[in-house]
Amino acid sequence: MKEGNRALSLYTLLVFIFLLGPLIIISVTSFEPGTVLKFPLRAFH
Amino acid sequence: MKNKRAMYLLLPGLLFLAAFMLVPITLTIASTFVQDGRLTLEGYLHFFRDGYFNRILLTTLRVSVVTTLVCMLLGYPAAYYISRASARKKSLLLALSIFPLLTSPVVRSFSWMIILGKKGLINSFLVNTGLIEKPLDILYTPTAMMIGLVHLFLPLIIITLLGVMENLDHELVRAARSLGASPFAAFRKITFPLTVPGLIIGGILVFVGSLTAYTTPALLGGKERVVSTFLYQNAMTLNDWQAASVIAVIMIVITFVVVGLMNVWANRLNPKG
Repeated sequence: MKEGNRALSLYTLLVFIFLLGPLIIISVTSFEPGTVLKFPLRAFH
Repeated sequence: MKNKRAMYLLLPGLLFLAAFMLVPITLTIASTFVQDGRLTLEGYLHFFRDGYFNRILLTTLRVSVVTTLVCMLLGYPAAYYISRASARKKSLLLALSIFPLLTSPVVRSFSWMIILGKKGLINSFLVNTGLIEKPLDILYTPTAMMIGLVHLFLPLIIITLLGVMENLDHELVRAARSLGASPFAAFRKITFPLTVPGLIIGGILVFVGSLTAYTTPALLGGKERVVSTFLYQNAMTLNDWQAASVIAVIMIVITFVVVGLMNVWANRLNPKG
């Protein structure tokens, strides 16, 4: 029962990392010195 | 008498719906059956004979079905966990689930471009650790579209499921457990059947959203077309409004068929629901 709960909380944590991770990443990259789009533009090439 | 008066309150809403939804949709549907002043099914036949359109339709259906299934698989356990959490934890997790919904789909698609691009986070990590030599083609593929759409609609299914799970009578589960049912048996026999309506409603919302989404497939799909981007291309680039109307009607029909099928599925899983 306890193991099941732990697995469920880990699963939920992964779901939230998936949900919030991209938003955190785009927020962090926007602070890169230079231009706001510097990093994203590099990623497109 | 009182009920009749209350009915008048519906009138403004009904008139608005009739003027701005029913009439335009009826005109759109009617325009697909008329060509050079005569009634014909040529518009539809032309599309279904066209291999390119069939490929686009199949890609769209594949992307929408996979997105819906993945959202269900990711959203159900998460919603179940949130519904059983303490009040403080629940409100925090609920706020975190809603937060992505407050962000524009354009911003969310751009964030996936940073992650999935040739020099994005995933490829940089895989190349730098020596796991692969050449970067993988993830961006501008149907896979990228699916990832973006799952990210777009996952909060929606979590919130829908949470509404159903919150109203679940936990005494029933406790009663089953006290009568000797294992946690899994109690979940399978009680919790799951009672939460099926939420899963189906969430599934319908995700499927219809994925089928009609434009921004995410346009940004993450690159040259890969889905029905909505094809519709836009026909209307805005080729200026072929009749073809665009035919595509719109096909999308409406698919939506109705899927909603019908999901209702049948819901009735099978939970006949009393």
